[in-house]
Amino acid sequence: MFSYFRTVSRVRSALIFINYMIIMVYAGVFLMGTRYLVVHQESLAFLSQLPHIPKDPQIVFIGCFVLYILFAILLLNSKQNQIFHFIDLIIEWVISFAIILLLDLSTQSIVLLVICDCLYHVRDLKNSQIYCMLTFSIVLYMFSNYSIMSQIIALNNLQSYFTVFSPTVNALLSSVRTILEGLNLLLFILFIAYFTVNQYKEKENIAQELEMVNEVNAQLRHYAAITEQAAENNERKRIAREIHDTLGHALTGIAAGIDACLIMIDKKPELVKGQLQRIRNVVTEGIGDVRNSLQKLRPGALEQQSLEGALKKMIQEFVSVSNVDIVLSYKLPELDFEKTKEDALFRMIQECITNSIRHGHAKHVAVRIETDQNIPDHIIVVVQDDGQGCETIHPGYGLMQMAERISTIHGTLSYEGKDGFVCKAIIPLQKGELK
Amino acid sequence: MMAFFKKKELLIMMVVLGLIAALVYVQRPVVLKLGIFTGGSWNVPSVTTYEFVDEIIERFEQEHPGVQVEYEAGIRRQDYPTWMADRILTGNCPDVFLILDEDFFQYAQLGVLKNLNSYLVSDPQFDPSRYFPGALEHGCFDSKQFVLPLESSPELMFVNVSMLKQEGIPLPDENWTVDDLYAICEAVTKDIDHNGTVDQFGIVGYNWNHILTAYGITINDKDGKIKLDHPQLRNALQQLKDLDALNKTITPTQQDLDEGKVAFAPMDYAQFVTYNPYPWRIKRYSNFDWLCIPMPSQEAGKSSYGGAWLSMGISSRTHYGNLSWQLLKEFCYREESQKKMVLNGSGVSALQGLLFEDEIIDYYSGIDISSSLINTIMQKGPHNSIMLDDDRQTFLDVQINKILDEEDELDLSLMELERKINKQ
Repeated sequence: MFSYFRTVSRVRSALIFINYMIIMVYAGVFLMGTRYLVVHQESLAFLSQLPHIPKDPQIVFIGCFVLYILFAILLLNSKQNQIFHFIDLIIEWVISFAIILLLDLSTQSIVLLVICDCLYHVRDLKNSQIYCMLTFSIVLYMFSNYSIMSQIIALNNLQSYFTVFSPTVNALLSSVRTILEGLNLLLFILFIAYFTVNQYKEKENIAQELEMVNEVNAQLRHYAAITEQAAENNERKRIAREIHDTLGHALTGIAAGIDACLIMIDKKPELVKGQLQRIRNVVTEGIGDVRNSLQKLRPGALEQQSLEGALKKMIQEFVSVSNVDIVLSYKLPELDFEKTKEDALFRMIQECITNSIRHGHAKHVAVRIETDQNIPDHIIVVVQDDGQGCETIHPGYGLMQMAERISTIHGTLSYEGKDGFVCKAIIPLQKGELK
Repeated sequence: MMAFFKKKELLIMMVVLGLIAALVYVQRPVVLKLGIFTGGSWNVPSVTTYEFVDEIIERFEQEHPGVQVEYEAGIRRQDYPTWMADRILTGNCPDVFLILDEDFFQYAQLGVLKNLNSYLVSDPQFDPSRYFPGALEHGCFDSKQFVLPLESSPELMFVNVSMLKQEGIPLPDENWTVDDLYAICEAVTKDIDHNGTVDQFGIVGYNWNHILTAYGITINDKDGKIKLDHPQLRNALQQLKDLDALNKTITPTQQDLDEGKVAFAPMDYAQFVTYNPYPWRIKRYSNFDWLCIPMPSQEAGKSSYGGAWLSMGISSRTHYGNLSWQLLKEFCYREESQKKMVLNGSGVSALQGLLFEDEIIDYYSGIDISSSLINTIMQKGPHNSIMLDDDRQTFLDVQINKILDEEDELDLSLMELERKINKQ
């Protein structure tokens, strides 16, 4: 990378030098040619060869010199790693076109230098800016073409000043000009070649890095799958243990108690009563155990807190890990929800927020829980975001599961993705839930 | 590199330098440069040019305080085109300068001359109708007015009045034709001393340019080519050939003219004016009476006159367009200047009204030419039917004279010549 900068900088410096030579050769030939014509009294004959009245050769010479020095200072001052200003480029264009005009469009070599300089700075630019710059340069190139522009505006022909000298001098000057212009073109091609190769290399490097990242990603996914499976296994073991420890125990006890009852029922019916009383106690105990087990399987947050508290905590966690603004509006009277209902609502809201962030790339999410104004004894849950949404919704695993969960508590789920994503659930309240 | 040049400082420096340059430029006194030549506008002796110019400059400078007009003295007419070419190439073209007919088209095409159309329209003091019709058109190219006429030198016909009287031939009127000319020439061409050679001649110096003008033929076409293959042109040249044939093998000379042995000779106005006043008149043609009449035309009433113009124009690169226009008007439009020019005897003014001022009428009658004759010619607008650079003019002169002398078949040789000259 470093060697690329160095080479390109050198080519650019060489171009600046060669262009100086070319411009001074033209301006010099113009100035000296005019002097030669006047001294040798050939001006009258030469005048008839010209297509248009020439400019003052002295002004052209001095003007070219001063403008080119300014141009060169501007170019050499702007290093590649500096912050790029468009105004610099515009000044460059203006100065270079002024020089071209001074020389009556007889040489366009400086345009090649300007194009190189555009490309020299493209690293910090957007594509549109690069295109804009290149278009301008091409337009400049067209406008500086003698054969095109001499049809439109009256121009002098500086090429003819090369022929005023003696044949030897003429041949010498012409070859110097040809060599310089050839060199200029060669360096330009070299610059473009370097630039293109470098651009290609950079692209390749990026592709390689991307591939590496993809590989790492795949490994991570694999690892996540393994971890999930392990967690599932652990959960399974826990559930099995719980069942074994609670239900198994109770059921075994019940089975043994009932066996005893079966034996005793004919001989000592009064004892059976006591036995059944004991079995009932075991059942009651079993129910309590099962409840306790279920309690252990509930979402962590809900286990300790109310639905509102759990939601707040969950939202807090989301907000802390992503830059999403989530607003919760919880307007329910004191309710004695069944735990399954609480679970379903909690999971639904959690899933919705996850979707908004993951799929919708939303910045704001509003969560609303309140009693339905239209249908009595129903509550309504709305999760709305300002993300991308989607015109047609193909329900995936998440949405299906959500709908399933809501239907188990006799609710209905609806969603819409036209303007952001809105997910709405209406759930009936059961008797006794309202306090 | 150049680290001490910060961009801002650079910009400020540029602006400051620009301001200083502008200040210096503004503070300079206004100097208008004038491009003129000496020795008279036409190829005849004259000593009054600078006096005439200085007077106009003085008046102009008085009317425009703070403006100076400068000119380079000592440029001869024959050096003037080269001098101007030097100025044009080095970018030092004078603001206002004289233009000869032969340079006009080149200057107009090159863009040396400023387009005067806007001044013509916007200047309330300027009335184009004060000029003779055609005088302004003469300085037009591509429907742009580039120059104003300073003076004209129309072609006239010198007539040896004594000889015509002696031969009993009446003086031709202004509607005379080339056929009349031929008839008179035929009548006067004689061998008076009976030594076997003709010694009284009809005409001398009447060349193909004159007869083409009489026929109203132009040989330049729009794209700069020369057109010679033309039946009218052949007829004109045939007539010229017939005129020459009258003299048999002898060609009359200038000396024959001076000695009163020739009836007619073309003479331009400048020559006429120069030879007319004392002592020139005495010196040259002392032993006979002579005067000048208009040139003959091909058909009576369809007259077309030859003649040259001296014009003035403004450089397209001038910084002082309005002042230059004022100076140009001072020369070409102001009556005082034009009158002075006529009285100095250098040329005919293009201003119509001037001809009928007493001072001018007196002047013309003093030199034996009537104002109405000048008016007749100027109304038609003297013009060159042939506009060629010196090289091609010389080439055509030589070639056509050769054809007239040697060839009988004009058509073929003219076709051949047309091909040759357009190839050059």
